[in-house]
Amino acid sequence: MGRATPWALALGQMALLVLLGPLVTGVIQKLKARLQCRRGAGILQPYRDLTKLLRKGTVQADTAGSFFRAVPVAVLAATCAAAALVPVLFASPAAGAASPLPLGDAILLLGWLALGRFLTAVGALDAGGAFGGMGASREMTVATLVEPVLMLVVFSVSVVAGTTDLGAIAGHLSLRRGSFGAPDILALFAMLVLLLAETGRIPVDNPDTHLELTMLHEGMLLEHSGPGLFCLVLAHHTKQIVVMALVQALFLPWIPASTALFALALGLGAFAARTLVLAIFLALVESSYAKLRFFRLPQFLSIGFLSAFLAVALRLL
Amino acid sequence: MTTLLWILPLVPVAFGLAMLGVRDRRLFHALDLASASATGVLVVIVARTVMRDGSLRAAGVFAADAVTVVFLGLIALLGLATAIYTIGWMRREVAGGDIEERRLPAYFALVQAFLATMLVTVLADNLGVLWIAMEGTTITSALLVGFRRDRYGLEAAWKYIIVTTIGISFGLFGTVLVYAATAHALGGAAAGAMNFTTIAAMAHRLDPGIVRIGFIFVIVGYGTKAGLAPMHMWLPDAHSQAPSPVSALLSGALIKCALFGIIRFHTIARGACGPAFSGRLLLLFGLVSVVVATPFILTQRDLKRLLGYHSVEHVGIVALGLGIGGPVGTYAAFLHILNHGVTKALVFFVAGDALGRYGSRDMGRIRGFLRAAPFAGTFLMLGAFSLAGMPPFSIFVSELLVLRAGIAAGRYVTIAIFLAMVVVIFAGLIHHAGKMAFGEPDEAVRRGGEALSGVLAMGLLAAVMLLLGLTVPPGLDRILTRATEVTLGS
Amino acid sequence: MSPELATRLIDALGALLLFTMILILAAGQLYRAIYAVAAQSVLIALAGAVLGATTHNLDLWIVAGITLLVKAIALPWLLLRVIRRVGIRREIEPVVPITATLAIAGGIVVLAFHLSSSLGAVRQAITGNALPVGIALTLMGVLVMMSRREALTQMVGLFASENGIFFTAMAVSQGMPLIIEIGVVLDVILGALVMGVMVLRVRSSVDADIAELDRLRG
Repeated sequence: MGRATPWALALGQMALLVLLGPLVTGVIQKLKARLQCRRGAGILQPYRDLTKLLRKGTVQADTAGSFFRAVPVAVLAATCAAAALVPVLFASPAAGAASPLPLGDAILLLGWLALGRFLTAVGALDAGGAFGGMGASREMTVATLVEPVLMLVVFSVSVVAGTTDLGAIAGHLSLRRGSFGAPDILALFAMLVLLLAETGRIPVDNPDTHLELTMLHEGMLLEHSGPGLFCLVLAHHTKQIVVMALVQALFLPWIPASTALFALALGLGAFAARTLVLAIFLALVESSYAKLRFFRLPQFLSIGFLSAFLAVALRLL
Repeated sequence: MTTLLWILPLVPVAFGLAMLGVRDRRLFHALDLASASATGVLVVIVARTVMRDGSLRAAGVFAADAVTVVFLGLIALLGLATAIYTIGWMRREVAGGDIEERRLPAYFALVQAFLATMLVTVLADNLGVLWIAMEGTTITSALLVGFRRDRYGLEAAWKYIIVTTIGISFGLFGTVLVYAATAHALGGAAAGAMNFTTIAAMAHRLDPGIVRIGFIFVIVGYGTKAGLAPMHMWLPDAHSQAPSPVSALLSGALIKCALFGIIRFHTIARGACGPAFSGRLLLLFGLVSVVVATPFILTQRDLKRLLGYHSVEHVGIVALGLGIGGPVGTYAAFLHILNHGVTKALVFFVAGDALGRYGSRDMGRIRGFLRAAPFAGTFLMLGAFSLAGMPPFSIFVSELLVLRAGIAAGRYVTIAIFLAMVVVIFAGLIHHAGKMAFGEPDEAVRRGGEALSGVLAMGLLAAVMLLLGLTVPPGLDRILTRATEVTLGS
Repeated sequence: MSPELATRLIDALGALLLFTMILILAAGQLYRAIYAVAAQSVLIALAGAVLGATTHNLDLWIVAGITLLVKAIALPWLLLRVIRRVGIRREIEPVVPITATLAIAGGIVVLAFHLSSSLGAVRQAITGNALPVGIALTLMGVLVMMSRREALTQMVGLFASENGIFFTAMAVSQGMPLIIEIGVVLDVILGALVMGVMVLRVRSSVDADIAELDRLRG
């Protein structure tokens, strides 16, 4: 029905990603179950879990204050802001042209995700529990290795496009479809390692377990309950789909350059297909490997680091 | 005449194959001697032809010029001496149960294969054939180093084969780079781009940048095989754990063959990048080798390990001579190759004798060698004096020439360090040798009963050593001069 | 095949080769390293095929085929057999920690690219980025050999190093002469056989692992 305004587009995309996030998680769970010869819960199970959490009350530790109550909402807000930045439904019409919605570029996106991680960790520390502290410190250790690699990967791609604006990058890549260069292979591999780290899946972290000693992310969520936990879990699902969309924007884009409704529908379909491929990849990796012991994580992540570093080096040299 | 170049390496191969089917020990030695003699005769013929006609070339695979003749002579001489020495040595080994009779065919055949691969290495004109033959020497000699199958032998053999194979791979990479430069200068045509004679002729047309990188790879790679520090770690182990005749060949001939490869690339690099670059690298590696080897020589307890480190030092001296360059320096390097090869083989023969007699390589246990075995003890003193660089032995002459060249070239610091090291090593070596030779041997040590063959072999080498120390015969002088000219590209 | 397409394919293969090298460097278990070096050899064979198609040189096709047979199938199979006989599973802790090894590897790649970018017109004699990738692979193979104690991992490093040399050699003008390439491959096979025999002999006669032999010192 004609062209949608940029703001409506951004908000719509944000809502779309937030709503679809749990669905992606549900699909991955189902795939994993099938691969492990179980029937598994239904695809919509995460939605049911979320609504269950909304109905419950909040219990809070004595030592935690109002900051602790504010953290879940802040984390969800940061992640939703990140969701608005990833180009899913639209991209720049031509390489070099300004993005139709100048909300921010890739660095801001990484900043939002980092902010969400930081707030979760601080909130866990605020509750004063041992497991929260342990989970927070582990998460931050992983973050030290993950954040720079993300930056390197983004840089290696943006060197070609000449800008860090994700919409422009995606548009640029969509236009030159066949030139998947040598450094991109290395950057893609690094990005896949990062995908595992950011979404907290095996071999970095086990999303299914609630054993405090073996998890990174769950340790930080332990003290939250009720609507607070709802916000954090929803933020986790949203972060997962945002990172997936980032992978697609950097390496596998085919994003419509116009905002006509038909093009939007087509873009949505393409996005769904690519997300499904990534979901299958995650499910396969989760079912094939065991979780790494924590002190082996730096080795695993430094493989990603080296790949990203080489990608940038090959681009520049 | 060029067919001679093909026949020359085939002689040891043929004899080696024949030995596989032999059982009688005396037949082994007869075949061994025959092979060595035939090789020697052929080498003499090739030498005369080369000096008369300039150089021999065969189908772009083999070529023989004056440099080749120098190395061929060394290999043939050492092959003959080893064949003679092995007669007595093997009898002792088999009697003592160290080597089983049924493994004899393997031993002799491997030695012949080893000699054959060394001959191919120095005869090679095609740089790829050079590499293949060098890898061949590594494989055959690794099997010989680990022949005894005890713990130390296998450790040494493993270190040897792994380190030298990776080193030679670097050499292959350097070869590829030089080939790339040549192919590019020839405009993409590949014909003859791997032949040394072709490349040397057009060396000034090659791109200096890529030849520089290639030469660095070559000197690190083939230098590992030659025993230049800091890639020398395998050498003391391998040369000490190998059977003594094999050690003589390793230290006397094999590391020189690796130097042959470096010399060829040195000529190419001189043409392409000017004489300063490769000379400076050789100088650096040579000096480091001499300096690194010295403390290990002083504090050594194992006799053959001592000799191994000594080889590192002398290879360093050869590199120094080449690095200082100029006609005198290069001449000195070639002369030193001959002198050190002969002397080191002699001392390894003596060490083999000592090992058999005293049952240990520990120099603390070897006492009174002169009384226990007068001939071998005498040769020990002679050899030690020669290695230390005393006149009237050969090594003194070549070291003096290197000194002269260095002073003439104005490299005072290098010469000063070199002199200091030589003096230190002189003292240490004389000290060790004196402790071993004089005094009273243990009661358990067998006295007398020296094998005639051993004495003959050692005598032969000692005679050559003495001769070269007193004078350089005119024929040899001409060969060395011509080799110098070829290397310097004039 | 046009030279531009060949260059791009060689570049892509070069990136994949670097990637397999990273896997070898970071491999915690022996058989992963062996599979990685086998994959690497397959990539080298592919490179040979690409270059053969570009230069219409039959020799390169033959070399590609031999590389595939020998280095991608026969030698890894040999190594796996030795593993099964000797019974090693895990890698012993390396001499240099893996993170430090990976950091050095990154430095090596940068060095290799910097070195080859300083060359002049002769750079065109070697297709694509085969030269820097070759240098990087060779040096990283040596890094594997120096940073590991297990004998078989050292052999894997040796094979990887030789892959790098092969890669550069194939990309030079029209490839090296066939006889030389065959001779090189033969030597590699012989060397690998002798090394394998040695590992087994150490196990059988001394009943120890090569990594434990470190008495010769000083």
